[in-house]
Parts: sequence; structure tokens; C-alpha cells
Amino acid sequence: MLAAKFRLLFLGLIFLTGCQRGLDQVPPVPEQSQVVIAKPGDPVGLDPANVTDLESLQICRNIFDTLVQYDPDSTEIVPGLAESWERTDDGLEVTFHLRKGVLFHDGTPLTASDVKTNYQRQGDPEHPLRSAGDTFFYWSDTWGERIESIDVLDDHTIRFRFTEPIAPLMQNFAMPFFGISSPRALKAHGSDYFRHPVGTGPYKFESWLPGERLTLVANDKAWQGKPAVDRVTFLPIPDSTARALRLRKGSVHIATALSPQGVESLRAQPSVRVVEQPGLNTAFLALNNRVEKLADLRVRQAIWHGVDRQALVRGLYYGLADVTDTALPTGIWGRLDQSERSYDPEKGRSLMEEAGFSEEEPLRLRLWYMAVPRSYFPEPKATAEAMARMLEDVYIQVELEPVDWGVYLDRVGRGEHDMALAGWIGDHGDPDNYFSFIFGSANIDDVVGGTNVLFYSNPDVDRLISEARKEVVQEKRVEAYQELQEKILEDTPWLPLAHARQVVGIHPRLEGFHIHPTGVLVLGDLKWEGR
Amino acid sequence: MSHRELAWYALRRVAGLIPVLLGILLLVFLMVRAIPGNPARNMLGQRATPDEIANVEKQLGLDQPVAKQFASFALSAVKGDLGKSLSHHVPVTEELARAIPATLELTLAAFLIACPVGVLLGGWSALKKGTAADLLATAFSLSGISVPIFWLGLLFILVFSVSLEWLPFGGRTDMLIPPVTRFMLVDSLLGGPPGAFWDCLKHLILPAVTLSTVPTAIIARMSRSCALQVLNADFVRTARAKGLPERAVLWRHVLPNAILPVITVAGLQFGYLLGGAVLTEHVFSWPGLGSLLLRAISERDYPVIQSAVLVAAVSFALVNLVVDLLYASLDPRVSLESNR
Repeated sequence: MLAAKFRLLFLGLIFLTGCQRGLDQVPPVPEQSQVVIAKPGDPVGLDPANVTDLESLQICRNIFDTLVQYDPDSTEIVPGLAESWERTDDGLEVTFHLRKGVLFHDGTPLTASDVKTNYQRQGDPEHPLRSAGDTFFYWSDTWGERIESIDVLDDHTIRFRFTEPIAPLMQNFAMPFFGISSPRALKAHGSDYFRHPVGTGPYKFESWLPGERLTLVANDKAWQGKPAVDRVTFLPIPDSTARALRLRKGSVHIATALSPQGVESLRAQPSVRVVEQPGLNTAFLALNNRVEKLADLRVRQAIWHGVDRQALVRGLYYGLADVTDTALPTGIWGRLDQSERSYDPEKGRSLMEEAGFSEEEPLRLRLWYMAVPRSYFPEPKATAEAMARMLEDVYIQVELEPVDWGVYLDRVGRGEHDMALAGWIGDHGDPDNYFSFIFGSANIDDVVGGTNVLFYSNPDVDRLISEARKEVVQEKRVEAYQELQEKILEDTPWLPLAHARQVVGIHPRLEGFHIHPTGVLVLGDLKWEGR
Repeated sequence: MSHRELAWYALRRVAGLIPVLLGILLLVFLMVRAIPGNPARNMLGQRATPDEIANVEKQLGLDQPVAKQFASFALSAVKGDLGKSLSHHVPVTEELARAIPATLELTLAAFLIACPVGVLLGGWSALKKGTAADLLATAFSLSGISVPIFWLGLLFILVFSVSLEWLPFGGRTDMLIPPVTRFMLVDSLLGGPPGAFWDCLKHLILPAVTLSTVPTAIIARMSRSCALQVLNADFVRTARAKGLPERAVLWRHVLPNAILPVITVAGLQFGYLLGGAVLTEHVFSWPGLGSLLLRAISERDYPVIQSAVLVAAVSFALVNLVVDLLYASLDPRVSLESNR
């Protein structure tokens, strides 16, 4: 009987190792020139002007081009549909010189008036190429009423004039929402355009069966040159484990949005190459500066000294994040790197004692956390619990409170919290996109809820934000932002925590893959090794 | 029960469905309104302008008085207009038209496995009561109920897709099949490339088997206990005593009497499955009602959530109706009781 049991166990083990065997080799390179990409979901639509979700933008970026583009790996600006441009010294005008000979996927040549049509369509709700119900979300954030005129100077030259200088101007032009569509296709497909996108990018749209697959094919007339991979197929596979398994088996070649918990084991697999890219997100502990107890600088400093951020990143981000002292993620220009404050509970306690607290009479504060994980907080509950335990050491008694994500932003935005886990995801990596939203007092809103959830208001900081925004000379902007960061460090209105990295698994023989800091996939350079 | 009686009974049951459906509509309607916070703002996020919020509120009809909102919601729902998906900008009916056939196909396949296997397993273990076979069957049905579906699904993928490479990982097909009925097995025969039917069938096997485990187990347990009860009944002893062969006893006397409660349970299971096999669909990337609901919840797409729940509830009510009718036509006692 016992022998039989052992035999069963043995067979089971053989079976399990058999299961593993198929996974620890490099899967074969597909015979056809194709790449299959597993993503957690379908795109919402493929009209770049009308989507905000990553699933859609990741695909749109490869069908459409913008006037200028981001470098595939950083937020630096490189030529796109415009091969050169000039900006006037007052920052109020920019003239783009378009590449000649660029063709849309429908065969029509790209002209300056097509660019104008695209911008007009987005800015004007009454425009005939805008179908009912379209809301071009990013327009108001990016341009608002600030475009005074758009003039077509000739077929390949276009001039934009603004009502005021816009510092992140070129970054704005590079945002994927402002990809240029073929006006002919816009007219032809009307409200169905989001299922029939036509751009100038390296890949052409071929077919989309929602929930099943979406296929792009190489644009052999692409101005960047024909891509080396002929066909890219996107499969919506909602389960992260299923995506990872298919990647290891080689039935997909790229898997996005892998869960941080599983990455460590994937890294050890020869069948997968793990690509990490710092994202544009910033996770932080929002201290409500309007709450009386938190208005005391010493208390806020003690919180800095009380939380071991390195340990949080190691344990609760699975090492897939960078600890930070500032709002600007790693790799963004203007970032101030060092801070003198580090984990030092001893110092924290003495600051708290100065402020009148002790072990017997601790400071009591509520800490809110979201009930669901966010990209910048993979484990919000555990993070909040760990923070609470750490803060106990500096005489702060924390009362934890989960808050439903549906009302989280509203309530935190209105300032109902003492402390709350919060995060910001930058749109394009311009420092203004962080400082004005997180620290600008214009973004405090008690009624509807604003983005300044610190309820921090410092006229000096506001002045610096507004000056830096209007400054056109890059060096002066850098100086302004560094001064801004020093001021914020001094005031300590918050506890910045980390920038979570984006993790994508790819086939080890696949070359030329880029995941941009904005999370967008850049596929034009993909190539199978040795082909 | 005569045909006339049955028709009358069916008619009354269908009429009885109307208040149920109205109740469902009301519940679904209130459900979305009970979610804390402003749905428009939840959907648009932190940086939405008041104009954008007002626009979405208008689309959702949230700017109207509640009674009016319900009236227009119920009226359009009855007309088949379920609004537009907030995140995907397409009519909800279009999304449902894609998801329902996928779920129905999967559910039917799972059911075709669950019913015969469950009944046979249950009946067999009742006949072999107290033996090792009975123990094995009981253990199987217990584990079928207790094993987490997503785990089982992943295990199946690991064994049959990764290791043995017999079956695909997920999805409904690897081929391009023009949608006609949106039932892949049917469409593959109507206009698919050669081998499409086999491809679709292979894709269906793992999710269907995974999905069938719980209903199989429940049906098996129910069949076992019903069969045991009937096997010990007086009329079975009489049947045996008058010298009927065992096979005739089982087929003519035991089965018809034991099967009735099993039908109820099976019908309920079918109703549950139709509501969207969320976990199975998730693990196998099956684009059905469950996947749709999951996506809509994560995107806070209220019209879609509302409609998916509505469809699930209505199909549950309809399945129950069918079960009751079936019951009435099979069991003469039902109609007598209900007519008196």
C-alpha cells in the first residue's frame, strides 16, 4: 500500500516536471515574419484623438505619426511628420516643415492642410469631421483656448500661433492623441472611423474582431522604411498568468502588463526576456496640509524619517520601482536627485517630541488607501499597513481606512483625508505636468475635487510653476524646476514614495522592441534575430 | 397533463414573468444609482472638466428626475435600446450581440458535458452505494464543487496546452472566420476556411470542461441522493417483486422518478452559467458575457454593466420558466397542485 502511494507520488512528480519541460527552452522563432502580442484587453477604439486608455494608445502609436515624436526610449523630442521646425523667441509661434512624399495608408499624400484639418477637428466640437458624442479629452488639458491660429503657408509648411507661451509645447505635439489621420478616411467612415483608422505610421490597420484579435500589417511605403516584421497581431488575454504562460511557450512573442508578483520567476526563464522601463508615474503619501496636526512642519518631517521607503519598494513593489524624493520620475530632465532626509526613526522621534508628542501621547491620524491596486501601488493595503507600523515608531498612531476607488479621487480631491495613498501619472514627461497638478494652488478644489490633494499652497511655488511654464529657454526652465524641487523639499508637503516600472516580457530572439516611458509600444523597429 | 392544461399553465407562468422582469429592471436601475459617487465623474477620472461631466451625465440621463429616468430606461430597454457603451462608444446591444453567442456556446457545451456525466455518475454511485466506486464518485463530485475554477483552468492549460500541446491556450479560434451567427462552431461550417470547425472545437474543449466541473458535481450529487431515495421506495420494491428485469426497473421506474429534482438543479445551473462564466472566460480569454461584465466593471462602463446584469437576470428567469414547464409536462402532480 505504501509502495503504491510512493509510486503515485513519483508519477505525479514526473508529470509536474513534464509540465515544466516545455517552458524552459527558448521557443522557436515563428516561420512567418510576424509578432503576436498578448495584452490584458481590447482597445477602446483606434481614433487616436478620442482615446485615453493605454490599450488603444499602444496600438495607435504604430498606425499614426505625430508632427514631432518622442525618442522611443525617452521623453526627448525627435522629428516626426515634421522634419524640422522653428520657434519664435517669444514662444508664441512655431512653424513646422513637413516631410515630403509621406503617404497615408489610403494612398493620399500628406499635406499641411491635412494637419490643419486634424487639429481643427479636435479643437472645434462643431467640426463636420467630429461625430456626435465625441469628447476629445486631452484637447482642453493640452491646448484649451490657447491656439490662436493655424496657417497653412504652403503644401508642406504649417504655422501654429498661440495666445501665450506654452512650455511643454513640443511634448504636447508629440502626444499620441495628436496623431494625424487621413481626412479622406475620416470623411468616408464618419462615426465608424475608430474601427477603420488610416494614418501614415509604420503599420497599417488590417482587421479587428473585438475580443478576439486585432491585426496590423507592415506599411511598405512608410517614410521610416518598411518594418522588418510583416504582421503584428494583438490578442486580448485578460489573465496575467495565461499571458506569461503563452509567452513562455512561444505562442505569443510579447506580453504586456505582467503582474509584479510573477516577474521574479519569469526572469529566471531562458524562454523569456524581461524588459523594464521606468514609467511616468509617481506614488506618494498625500499629507493634507490643511489638517491642523499636519500643518506642523516637524510632524511632516518626522513622517519622512519614519517611513522606510527602500523596504516598501523591496517588499511591496517586488523591487520593480525606484524610490524617489521628488515628483519627477527617473530620467526626466530637471530632476533633482539628492535629498538629505532618509529613513531615521531616531530623528523622527526627536522631531515629534519637539512638536509635543510622545510614546504615551502619540499623534493620531487616519490613513486612507484605495481598495484596488493601481499601477503605481501594486499592493495598496499592505503598503498602508506597513506604513502604519513604521509610523508607530515615530509616535504616530495610524488608523487605516480603505476607501472605494469609485469615490477615492473625489473624496481625496475634496480634502476629506488626513493622509492618503495617492499617485500621479504624467502625460508626456514635462515637469510642468507634475508640478502644476500636484502642487499648484490653482488645482485645489474643495467642491468638485482637484488634483492638488496635498492642499498645499505656497505663493513662491505657484510663481515658479507659472514662470517655468512660460519660459522658452530650456536651461532657465531646468533652473526653475530645480529651485522648485528644493522649495518643496524644504516645505515637505508630502512623502514621495516611488516610481513603479513597467514590465513587459518578450521572446529572447526578438530585437528592436521599445516600451516608451508613457507606456506606449513602439513596434516599427521590431526584428527577429538573424533575419 | 393535457396539452390544453399545459398551454394554460405556460401562459400563466409567462404572465407571471412580467412583474419579475419589471423587478429586475428596477433593481438593475437602482444598482447603478446606488454606487457611491457620481458615475460620470468616476468614469472620466480626476481631471474631467465640469462640461465633460455634465455631458456624460446627460448621456446617462442623470440630469433627469429619478422616476423619469426609470421610465425612460425601462421603455428603451423594452424596445431593445440599452444605450451606448461609455468607454467603447458603440451601442451596448452590439457588444451584447458579440458576447451572448460566445457565452451561450460555451454554456451549452459545458451543459452537454455536465448533464450526462453528472446523471450517470450520480446514478452509478447510487447503485454501487457504499463501495469504493461510490466513494470515488463522491470524492470527485466534492472536489468538483470545491476546486477553484481559475486554478483548474490554469492547470488544464498547463497540462493540455503547455505540456501535451493537444489543445490551444484560449480564445475561440486561431482562424479568421467571418461572423454570421456568431456561434463559432456554426460559422466555421458556414464560411470558415478548411479545418475551421475542428479548430473551433479544440478551442471549446478546455473551457467547456472547466466550466462543466461545478454543474457536473452538483448534478451528480443530486442524482445520487434522488436515485437512492427512489431505489428504496415501495414501488421499486413492488416492481422488482413482480419480476421485472433490473434494467426495466431502473429505466422505467427509477429514472423518471429520480430525474425531476435533477432537472430543477440542472436548470438552475444552466441559468447561473448563462450569467457569464466570469472566471472561466477570464482564464481562457473567452470573449463572452463574463469577460464583458468584468471589463465593464473595471472601466466603470455603467450602461454595459446594467445591460449585462439585465441579460443575466432575464435569462435566469427564462431558464427557470422552461424548467418549470418541463417539470409540469413530466410530472402530473405539479399541474394538479397548481390548478387547485
